[in-house]
Amino acid sequence: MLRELLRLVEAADGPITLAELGRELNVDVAVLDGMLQHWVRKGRLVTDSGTAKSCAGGCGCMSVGGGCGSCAGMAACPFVARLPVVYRLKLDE
Amino acid sequence: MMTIATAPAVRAVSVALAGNPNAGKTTLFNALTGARQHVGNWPGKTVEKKTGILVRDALRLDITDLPGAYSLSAYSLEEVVARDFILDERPDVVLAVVDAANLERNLYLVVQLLELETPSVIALNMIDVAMRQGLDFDVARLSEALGAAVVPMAARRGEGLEHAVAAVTAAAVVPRSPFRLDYGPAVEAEIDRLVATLAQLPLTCPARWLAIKLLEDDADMATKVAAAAGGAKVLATAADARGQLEAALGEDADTVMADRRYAWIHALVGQAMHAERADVLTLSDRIDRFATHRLLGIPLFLAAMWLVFKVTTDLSAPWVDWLDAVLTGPLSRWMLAALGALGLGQTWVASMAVDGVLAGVGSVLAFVPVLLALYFALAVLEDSGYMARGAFVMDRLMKRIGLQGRSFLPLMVGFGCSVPAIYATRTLTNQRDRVLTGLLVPFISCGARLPVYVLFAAIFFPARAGLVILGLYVLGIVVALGVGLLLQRTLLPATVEAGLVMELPPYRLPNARSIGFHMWQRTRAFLQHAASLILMMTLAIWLLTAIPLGGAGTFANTPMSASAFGRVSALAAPALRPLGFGSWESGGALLTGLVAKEVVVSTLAQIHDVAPAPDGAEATTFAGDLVAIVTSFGRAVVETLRAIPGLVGINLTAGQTGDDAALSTALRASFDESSGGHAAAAGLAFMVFVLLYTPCMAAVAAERHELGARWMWLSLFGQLAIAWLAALTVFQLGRLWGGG
Repeated sequence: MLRELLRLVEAADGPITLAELGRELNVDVAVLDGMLQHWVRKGRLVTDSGTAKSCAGGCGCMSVGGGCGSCAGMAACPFVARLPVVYRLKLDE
Repeated sequence: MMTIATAPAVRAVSVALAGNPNAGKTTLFNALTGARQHVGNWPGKTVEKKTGILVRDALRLDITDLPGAYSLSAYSLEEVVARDFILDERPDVVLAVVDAANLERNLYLVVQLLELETPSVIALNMIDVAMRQGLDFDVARLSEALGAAVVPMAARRGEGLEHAVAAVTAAAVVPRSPFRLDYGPAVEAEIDRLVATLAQLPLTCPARWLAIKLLEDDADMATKVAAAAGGAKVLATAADARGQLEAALGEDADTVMADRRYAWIHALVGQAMHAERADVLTLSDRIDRFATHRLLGIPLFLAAMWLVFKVTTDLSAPWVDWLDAVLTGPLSRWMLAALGALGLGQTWVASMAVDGVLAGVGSVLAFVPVLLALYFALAVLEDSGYMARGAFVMDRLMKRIGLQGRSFLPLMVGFGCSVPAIYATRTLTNQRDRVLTGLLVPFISCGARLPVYVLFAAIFFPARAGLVILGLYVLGIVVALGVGLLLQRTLLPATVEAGLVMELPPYRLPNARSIGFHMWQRTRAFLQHAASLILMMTLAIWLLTAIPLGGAGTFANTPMSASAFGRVSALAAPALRPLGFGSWESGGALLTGLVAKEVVVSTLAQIHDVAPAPDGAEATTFAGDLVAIVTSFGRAVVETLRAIPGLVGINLTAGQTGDDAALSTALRASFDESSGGHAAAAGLAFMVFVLLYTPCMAAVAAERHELGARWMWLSLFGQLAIAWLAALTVFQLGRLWGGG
């Protein structure tokens, strides 16, 4: 199942939703999440939770230590919209 | 510490409560132990530890609530704590709590718990919820396959608790034979080889389980084995076994074994769980059939973006006007009156206070309604779950310019205001995407440029104003795409990306509280960053207009053409001459546009001396002003409500006033003169220049914060060059075409 999942991700022509992938594999989305996490741990996929990344540096809301001074943290950066969790193949740079 | 019951218990059974997060473990723990709980931390860990006691006649259960975990592979602190407790404390029974509605995922942990060979009971929790979802379970089949008692229960309703206690008691007394999942001949052979090697070690855990962990290359267990006498030999055997398996199966042993677990569980669930409505799609699935459709998805998303744009511009317009009226009317009068009372009425101080400070505050406040409207629209899209679909459908399209689908969001925010749009690039995965998106944002026509288009399109293209304005928006997108392609092939080559999977959240009704919170947070954050800069630049421009050069007038009382501002603007005129608007007036308006694009029109009005008469001249009272503020506020509310039905229509040229008409005449004459009789071509070139040239100072500052100084300078001068070339092309072609 894990290898079939990776094959499907590799063969996908364009983006694919977790629900579509679940239907393809006849597996519940919650199970799929665990399976994708396996490939993330193995370094074959990378995941992006959609939270803020740091700015180029020196911006007013960033403290010296790299955290967000005026906000509750990167995850609460007010400038950032809540976007979906993404998994993508990790290719050799 | 809570009071511990002192019932005359004759038999104590230690129970570990394990399960996935949100499986109802804590609910069951509370239901079993009631108030007899102790809450602390696991030794040396920040993970909460809860223990409690249940006393039944001659039985006492010492229950430990383990942290929620998805596996026992020690990938997280919670998993390490849970695993170490079972291995080190050896509880009499593990009570594994599973969410019946998510059985397949929950069983992954259960299988690993069972491999620890501790007597176990499976609590099939939230059975009521699962049954409402049309799920039915063959409990006997589950129990047989797992080698443990399976107790259906609804802990929240207190159903099945007694059965669970009875099963736990029975498991402690009469253990079943250990659970054994068959990993296939190749893996089983290596497990057996390792088990034989492990016989040399003094083990405190099951040999088969340890062999499995070593085949999985579990670092934690490898460290423990290495510390034991003879451990090195075991680890060498394990490494050899992993190599053999990888060579034979073409995948590492960890993946092969996890794959086997998933497949075994999938097959078991297929046999032991029946879904009455397996083929029924959820509402989200049904909506997504259209929303994420390859062909329909994009026009639907573009329609949503159009609505966002209309909300941003149309709903904020009455409030921008109201703020402008209050600032230039009553507030200016009150300030002048106060300064007059102090004897500073006709001095430079009054000029600075009204034309510098108050105008600066006005420039900042003008952003507020626009941003609130923009963030309202975005928060609704986010909260409803549609934003994620937007990123999904745009991914394929954005790939063409080497960007990800998420990049569309900052670009779309750019239609409202470039500054938050540049900040919104923070969500992008890598620096290259952040830089490229941040550089493209200013080409997207922000709301502040619209008044310029509306005025100029009405003057030079009255019959086709709407079309011209739409064309400018499209031009901005086309230029952004072109620049994106150019940068992708030069300075910012695309990184290869493939196989994108997105986890789309289910749709839900937006929450008013959450929307309000986001609107406020984002608007406040923007103002904190941009307000001081805009104020400073406004004061700098005022200072330039106040300084007399060439002998005409005195400080703060000089014609604009003879001020330092006029002279600086005149320096730009020769460069603008080939574009058809090479006058100091146009140069001056574009110069102030660097502060904020909104002020281009007001500067033109000021320069051409067609601004409304000073409000201070009107005979009004303080009370009259207050009434005017309140009534105009009411009018803004009504106009906002009236604008709502119009969100689906276009009425871009409405509301031209008498002042605009006077300005129109002055501008047509000015452009006629500067273009040698080709005013329309020059007017169009001016609009194109405004669309593409360097964004406002706040946006430039945002670029510096987010992208760094190097990219900021490239953007600043690059956009200026592109704007100049584009305006030159438009004017020269227009002139040849005969655009007069």
